[in-house]
Amino acid sequence: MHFKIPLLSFIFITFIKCVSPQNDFFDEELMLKPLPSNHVYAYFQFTTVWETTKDVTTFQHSHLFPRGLGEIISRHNVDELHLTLTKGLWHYQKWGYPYHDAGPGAEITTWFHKDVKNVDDEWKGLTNALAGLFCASLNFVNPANSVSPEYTFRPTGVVDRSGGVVDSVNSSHLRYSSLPREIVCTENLTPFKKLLPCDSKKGLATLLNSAYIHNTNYHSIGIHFRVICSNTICTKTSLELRQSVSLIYDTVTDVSQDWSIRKFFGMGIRRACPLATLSNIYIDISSNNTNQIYELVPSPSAKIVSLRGGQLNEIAVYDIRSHSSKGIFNIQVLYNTTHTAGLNYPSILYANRYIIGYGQERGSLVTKIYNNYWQTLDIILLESIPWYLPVYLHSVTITCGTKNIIPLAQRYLPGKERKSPYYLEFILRLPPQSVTKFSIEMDYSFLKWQEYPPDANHGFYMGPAIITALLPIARNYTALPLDGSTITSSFNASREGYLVQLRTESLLISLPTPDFSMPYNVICLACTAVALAFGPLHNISTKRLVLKRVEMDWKEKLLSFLMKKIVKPKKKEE
Amino acid sequence: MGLLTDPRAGSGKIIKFLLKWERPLCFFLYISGIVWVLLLALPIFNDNTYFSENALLPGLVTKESNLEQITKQYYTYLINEMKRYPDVMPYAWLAAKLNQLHLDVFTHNFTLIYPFQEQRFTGQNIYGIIRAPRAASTEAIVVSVPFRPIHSIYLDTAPSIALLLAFAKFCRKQKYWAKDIIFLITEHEQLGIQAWLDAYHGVTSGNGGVLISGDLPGRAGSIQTAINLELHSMKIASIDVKIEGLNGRLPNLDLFNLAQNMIAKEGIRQSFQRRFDVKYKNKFKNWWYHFNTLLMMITSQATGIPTGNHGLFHRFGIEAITLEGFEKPGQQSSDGNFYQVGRIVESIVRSLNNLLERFHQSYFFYLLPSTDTYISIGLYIRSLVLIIGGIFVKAFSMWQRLQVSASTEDKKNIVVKQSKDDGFDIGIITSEILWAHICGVTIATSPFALTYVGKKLDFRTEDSIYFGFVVITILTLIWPFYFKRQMKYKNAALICVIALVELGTVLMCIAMHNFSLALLVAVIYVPYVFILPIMPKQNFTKFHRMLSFGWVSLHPFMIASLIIMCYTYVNFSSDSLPLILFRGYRAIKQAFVFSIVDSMIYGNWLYNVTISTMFPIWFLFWNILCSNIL
Amino acid sequence: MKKQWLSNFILAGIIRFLLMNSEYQKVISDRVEVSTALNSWKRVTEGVYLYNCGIDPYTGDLFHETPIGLYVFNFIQQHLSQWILFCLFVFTDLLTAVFLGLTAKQYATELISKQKIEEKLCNENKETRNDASIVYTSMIWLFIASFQINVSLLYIVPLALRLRHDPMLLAFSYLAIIAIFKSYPCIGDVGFYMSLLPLWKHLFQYTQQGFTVGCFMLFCTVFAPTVWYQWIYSRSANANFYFGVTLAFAIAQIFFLTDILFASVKHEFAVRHGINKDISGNTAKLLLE
Repeated sequence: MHFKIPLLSFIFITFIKCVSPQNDFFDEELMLKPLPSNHVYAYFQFTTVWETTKDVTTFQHSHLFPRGLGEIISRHNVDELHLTLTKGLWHYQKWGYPYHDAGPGAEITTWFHKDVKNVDDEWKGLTNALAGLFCASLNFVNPANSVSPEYTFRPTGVVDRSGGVVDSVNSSHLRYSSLPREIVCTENLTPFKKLLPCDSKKGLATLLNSAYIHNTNYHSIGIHFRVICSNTICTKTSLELRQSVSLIYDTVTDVSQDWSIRKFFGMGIRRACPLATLSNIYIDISSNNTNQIYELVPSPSAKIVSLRGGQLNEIAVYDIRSHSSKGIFNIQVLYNTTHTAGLNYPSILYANRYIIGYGQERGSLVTKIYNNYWQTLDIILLESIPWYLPVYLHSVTITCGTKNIIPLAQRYLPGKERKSPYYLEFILRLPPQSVTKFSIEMDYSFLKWQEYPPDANHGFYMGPAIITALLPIARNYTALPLDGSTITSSFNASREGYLVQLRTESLLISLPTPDFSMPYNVICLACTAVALAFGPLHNISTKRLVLKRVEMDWKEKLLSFLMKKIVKPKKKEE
Repeated sequence: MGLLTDPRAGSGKIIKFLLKWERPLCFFLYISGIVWVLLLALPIFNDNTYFSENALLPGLVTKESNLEQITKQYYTYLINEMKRYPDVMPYAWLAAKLNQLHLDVFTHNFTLIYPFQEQRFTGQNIYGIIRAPRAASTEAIVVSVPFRPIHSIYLDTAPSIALLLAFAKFCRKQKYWAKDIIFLITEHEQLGIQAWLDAYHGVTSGNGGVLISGDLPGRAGSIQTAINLELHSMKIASIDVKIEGLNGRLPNLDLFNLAQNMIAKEGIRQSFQRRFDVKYKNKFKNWWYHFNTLLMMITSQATGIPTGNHGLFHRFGIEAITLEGFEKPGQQSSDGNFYQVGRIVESIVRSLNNLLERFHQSYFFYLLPSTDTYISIGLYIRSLVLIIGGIFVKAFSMWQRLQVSASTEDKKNIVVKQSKDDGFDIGIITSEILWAHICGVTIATSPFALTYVGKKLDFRTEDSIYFGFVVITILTLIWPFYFKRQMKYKNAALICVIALVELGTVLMCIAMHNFSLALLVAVIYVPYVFILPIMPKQNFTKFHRMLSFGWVSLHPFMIASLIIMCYTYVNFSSDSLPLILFRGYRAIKQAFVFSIVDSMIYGNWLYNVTISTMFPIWFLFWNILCSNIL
Repeated sequence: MKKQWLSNFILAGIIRFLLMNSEYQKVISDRVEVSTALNSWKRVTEGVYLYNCGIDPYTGDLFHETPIGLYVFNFIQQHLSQWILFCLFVFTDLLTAVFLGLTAKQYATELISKQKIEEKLCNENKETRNDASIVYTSMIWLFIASFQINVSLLYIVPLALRLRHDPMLLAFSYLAIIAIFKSYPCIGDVGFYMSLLPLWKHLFQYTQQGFTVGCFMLFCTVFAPTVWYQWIYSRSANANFYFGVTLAFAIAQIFFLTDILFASVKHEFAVRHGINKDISGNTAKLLLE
């Protein structure tokens, strides 16, 4: 009897799929990957693929695709959208490459349709609508902190070439903005969960408990929308929406190194989402035979061996439907040894960014890029510097040791105060096994007195730099291939290059601050000084010097009068 | 504006009063300045310290650390390791221990090229970073310990290193850190920390090519505050909080109050300048005790030499203090009290973790007569302003007399004529002042030339510098006698006025950076400047001649040597006189070399600024005293 | 005379050259009192570099020179080495000094001849008075509290009318007013009109606030970098200190200018009426009305 229910629901789903006119599929997957530095990488991906064309009426009838998001996409003519809300910093040296690179705070990248006339208006509308949808302060995105990078971003989906012109992609319809100050919390997670077909009631989404999610070292929720090909010859297109949650758990802070789903998320998994086609949990057990020794309880449904870009990975697969038929199930990982630092194969490309100099007058921005590969690597470095930190392009120095490196290409747009940021893009060829240092001088400018944020003067944030590269090998690499939609598509997915878009650290800068009693002081004292100048100059210009007889003041007058009166009577007497 | 265009101004009553009572007034201002300094130590003029920064929430956290056992373990291992390699820092052991605690560990190599002898010294710092969870590594707190080998002349710091490791282990397990924590172990005292800070900020604080700080492999954003630990034994009976930094800079008073409060909360005795808080019933004894503490702080701040590694953080806007722990002398108990000491460090770091912005609320300029009272700048600067006021009064009255004499001179001329010898000779005055300053700057940059010549003649560095300075002193003393020249009284007087104004300005500017230095210089120089005889030579009496010669003792090198000699006498009063003189002579040589080397490595401006400002002023007055004034 | 000029020039040139080649060159060129947004060489370099990269320097906010200036600076930076550029700056400074010196000499000779004429006139006809200077006492001045109005409009006409017999003093006053009220003043502006001060040595005997002004200027010049450092680097003082120092310096300059102008008025009066320069006598006093 008890396995009649999953069978019945399966028949029900296929029936619905055959009958309903909508051709959309929903997959939910969770990947758990223990990292050598005693951290565990948990990655949720909720994929909705909808086989339809994108036109005006598409989003008026939606089934699994979230209606709220669809309306926003159609209203603002969005071709591709990437939104991430992140807290914490991803350490590439220790943790490898994540499925989605995301800088601290909020980051939003959008490709608008090529027929859009006024991109800035649509951009403003889109960010405000998303701000409302996700309860995030995305309304602070404006032209003063948005750039249109030429090289860094390319559409990952299908590009509409119906105009007939085969030209290179026009970056004028791309907008990228970063708000490093944004904080991610429950208010952002709840609307995120509401976009899922099963909400947070069934399936993997039940694990997204904010008390546990926000207690991690790094958490990032992401929305990625694009148009993909339905078949290999790409005659039909589909819409793909990926909702992701990336988490890094720290197992050092606990007494024992053992972990389990219940420990990480507060509860086990009761059931899979009935609307999902694929509902799996993957655990990357590549490190089990070489470094650490642990066992999985219960045993996995299947084990997959993935050979990708020279890396051999062994993945344990758990099908939730079959495991949860017996009730709530929990996956445990039990270690046989005590806490040890695992062997780390360092990533071949990573970067650090920092500011040198001290004081609030000027400084230098330095980005250090490490190439650990035995061959040269070509990278694209994108720096988007806020308008209140003017930079000097003539002071750019790119050195590797003592050698100067000439960039292969360079794009620069100077910023305008309160209107646009400084946009810098370089294509560099990194020498093998090297550390390349890129530095540029900048000034700290004075802001108007009402532009300082209220409350504590924490400082001003500068968003991360983005380093794009196509890696030749897939060491520590997990991301999905461009043509794949689910995590399963990343197994055995060897390609010519593996795309990464590293984010560096975001920086906190203290700008020189006036004293806020100054408006009153300055007005009073400056007016006094002006009056001091005006008065004498006016006197000198309008009056002339005359000689005047000295007038005695009233005391002297009185005295002399009295003296006269006294002396005269005396004289009279004589 | 009648004031600015009133032709009658210049003969007012106040000016007449000033001219008549000038000398008594100057001395009255000077004496009242000194009296003000003395009165500062009275309890009525001191306010109790308080917390200005609400975000600190000092002592409100639930303390969870128990570092006693772990510290003891680390201490025994560390002592074994240090005994195995007695003269070197156990780099590998420290790096391994920090790695085991799952920190990001980095090493930093630096080199010192000693400026005069072309010798190279190398060193290495080890540091580990705890990355705060959920934070983007934008800010950091530094906890540092200077490593001292077993045979070091300074007191041992191995217990501090053990505490650092135990504290790092504790911190790694907590989830509430909002800022990264950097645990830093430096070598070679202040040299290591200066190199680390220079490398972190990508600057060179001293002269280029002297301290080569290299590059740091790992960073943690902008550093907000730093705590330096120098605990000398496993059972601490008292903790001294040291604040004086490089060039007399002090950390924010909130940080000092935080440390003192946390120490008091754990029941350990707090002290400042190695003196405990004592309240005598006798008012005079009370005042004398507090005044001595104040005087110790003033003398320690005036040299501009930091009293601990914390002093080098201040120039980068990072507030830092040193906690120096002493055991009770004569008591050698086996049980330690690092439970309390660990909790002190934990509470301080937790409070610093709460900060949203850098320290800016409380005072940056203050004097401390005890651990819980302070004197703010608004109160203590008045003493210096009174003393400097005397200088300006003297300058003004000299100027007025010049104006009055000029106008009486021309009353004899009925018709206004453009006479050739009317007014001051600007050319002579400007060239005098210019040459005096050029001499000052040349002498300030002379050490290189002196040591170069000294190397050729096979002298040691300190000898070549000392004898070079002696030669320079003699040259500057006899210079005016060689160029016997005549000067008109009004030119000489104008030069004096300008020199006086310059003295006042220089003292005020130095006071903004390092009040104690300005106060001591003012106390020494100002009274003599008041009694200098600036008058035509024919009016000179024997007394005036003696005064002129007394000005020799105020030559910057002479006065520095005198002070060091007195200091030697005070410290080694039990020795015989020749021995004291010899010790003093050696101390003078070393003091000169160290102050020059300090300015090259750390950017300590005591030597540069004193020579380039005080020497020209002295020289101008000396020229006038020695030339034939008509 | 010529020898003195030559030796002074050589000394000045040497000092300037030494400063330029020392480690202080970068420090001084970055100081906020010396290089402002309008005259900073760093910004000129940036503008020229952008121009050579094909990017319009005027799209950003850094470059504020004229297009002809851009062309000239481009030529200078492309074809002259660093060393020759330093020499060019030193040469320009010395050339400025030569021009100022020659101007001063010319003015001084003019002044002496003018005085001789006036003395003769004075002795001939003591009763003649110049009534034209009384015309504008009835004008109403609109006082708009704006520094730009002060600089550009307010004082041009009145001073021109008042000082029409002494155009050098008029030019000096204009320079001083510009230096005081300008938006981004720098030490170069002040130094420029100060260097013309010796032309009016004959007015020094009439000045009343020489000491105050001199003290203030010296104090503010030396004190300003200290409080700037305290605000921007040490973060232990706040912006009010630097603002106070710059305001005090502006007030000192105002005192100075008004003193010199009033001294010139007194001097005129003394020459015309042949009265002893000690004006505050017992029976008569001078008043402005």
